Amino acid sequence: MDKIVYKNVSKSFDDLIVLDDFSLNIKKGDSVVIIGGSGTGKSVSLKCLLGLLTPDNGSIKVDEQETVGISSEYRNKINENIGMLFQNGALFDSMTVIENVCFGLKSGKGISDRKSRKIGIECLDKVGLDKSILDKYPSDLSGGMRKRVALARAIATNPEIILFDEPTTGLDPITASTIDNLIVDTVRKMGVTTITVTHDLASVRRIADRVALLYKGKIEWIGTVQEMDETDNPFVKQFINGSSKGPIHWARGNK
Amino acid sequence: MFNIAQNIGSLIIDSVEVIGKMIRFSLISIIGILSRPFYTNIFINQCINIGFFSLPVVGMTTLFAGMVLALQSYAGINPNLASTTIPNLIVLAITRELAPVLGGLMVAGRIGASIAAEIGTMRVTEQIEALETLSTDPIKYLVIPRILAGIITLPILVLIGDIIGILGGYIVSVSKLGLNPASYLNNTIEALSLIGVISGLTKASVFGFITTIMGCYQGYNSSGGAEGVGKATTNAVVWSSIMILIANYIITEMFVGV
Repeated sequence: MDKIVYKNVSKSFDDLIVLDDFSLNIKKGDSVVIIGGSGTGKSVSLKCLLGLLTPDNGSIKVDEQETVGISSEYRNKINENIGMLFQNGALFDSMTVIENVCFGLKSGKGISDRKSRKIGIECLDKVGLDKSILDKYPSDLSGGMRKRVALARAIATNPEIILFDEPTTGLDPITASTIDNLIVDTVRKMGVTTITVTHDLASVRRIADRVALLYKGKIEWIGTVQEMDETDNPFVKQFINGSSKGPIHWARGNK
Repeated sequence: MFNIAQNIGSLIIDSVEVIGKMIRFSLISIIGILSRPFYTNIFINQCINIGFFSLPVVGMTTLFAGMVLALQSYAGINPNLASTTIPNLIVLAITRELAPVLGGLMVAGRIGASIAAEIGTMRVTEQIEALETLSTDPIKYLVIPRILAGIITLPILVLIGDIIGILGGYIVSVSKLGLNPASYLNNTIEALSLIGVISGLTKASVFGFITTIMGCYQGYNSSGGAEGVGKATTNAVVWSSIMILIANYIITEMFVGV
């Protein structure tokens, strides 16, 4: 059964068309990685799924239920089952690490302070962080630690879907690899469906069950990592080789 | 010529659009007050931040306003009438105008800017989006506690400002101008009118709403990184100050009943 279905989704900002008839089916437990250059609409596709942006046209279904044009109460219920790791962590800078991790449990799910703290500590442990950082603020942490805390916050509510927006951007290769492994370990253990947006090919190879190349607002190609390495598709080949010559032109403004 | 007309036209359209968005934002916030959940802890924190921490600023402003008013009115009136006129003038000016307007403008500068900067930073660093993904309505979590705190704490601040402002006038009148303390106090109490105090507190409540809604609106709709947050902060202070002065006239006209 498809867990998430994007069907003919379009989204534009003024004259800039970002998603254009975007369609993608994701099965339960699947780890799909969307690749593509900066500004091609990868993050917009995630934000449309979360209801942070409303598509101009098309449908997005989660568990066969429409999520476009629904009430805010219903949206909150759907989002209870979706975790999100933002590109820069988006940790609440006025809150401590433990308050950040427990936020969704307390505010979203109404779990008591004591119970949510226990779950929060367990989640931090899963991402390799100990109790010594519980009362630190995000500004006291390194980039890699902030990503880990953000990952702990994303998994704390035990969601069925987790979205990763460029999880390794700005990290050194070793920390990036650690974060990827954490994502794979954590997610596989939880059996959740994931969509990861990235242009980091090393990360793609570690995380993906299927890879989708987004170009000019559409999925240009989709397949497994092995198929990605073997395909003759000129778009994929150009992206993998990082060549400036080929059918892909990353200039923004896909009018 | 055509360009000038086009620029004026687009300016009018942009202004109408901003006003429309602001009214919509205010309505959503007001409607949100009526429904659950209500974040009591954040509301209490905001009351402390807006109310308690603004007390020194408002206190100093009204204290010196009362003191200056005593000196200025003494210079402009018959000295034989000073003991009756000065307390009357100070009570009237402080309770109806100076405490609410100066207090409102001071709070607009302090709180409007801080709200816009805080929420604006949250917007550009995706913290507001993070709130939504954690099933938390940002309007209810960020905006409503601040608006309610503004509406409730500003009248309390202004009431304290009234007392401090009148005290400032008393200190100068008695110690500097040599007026009789007992007769001054009697005249002050006689000059106090319930409607005057209520009109000042009503203004304060409206100014509290204006300041907080402008700070929240500008911060919530900021974009473009640090520069955008800076712009939002400036706009919040400028627009809330202008709107406070406009609202002051409207409320005064309502109470004066001309």
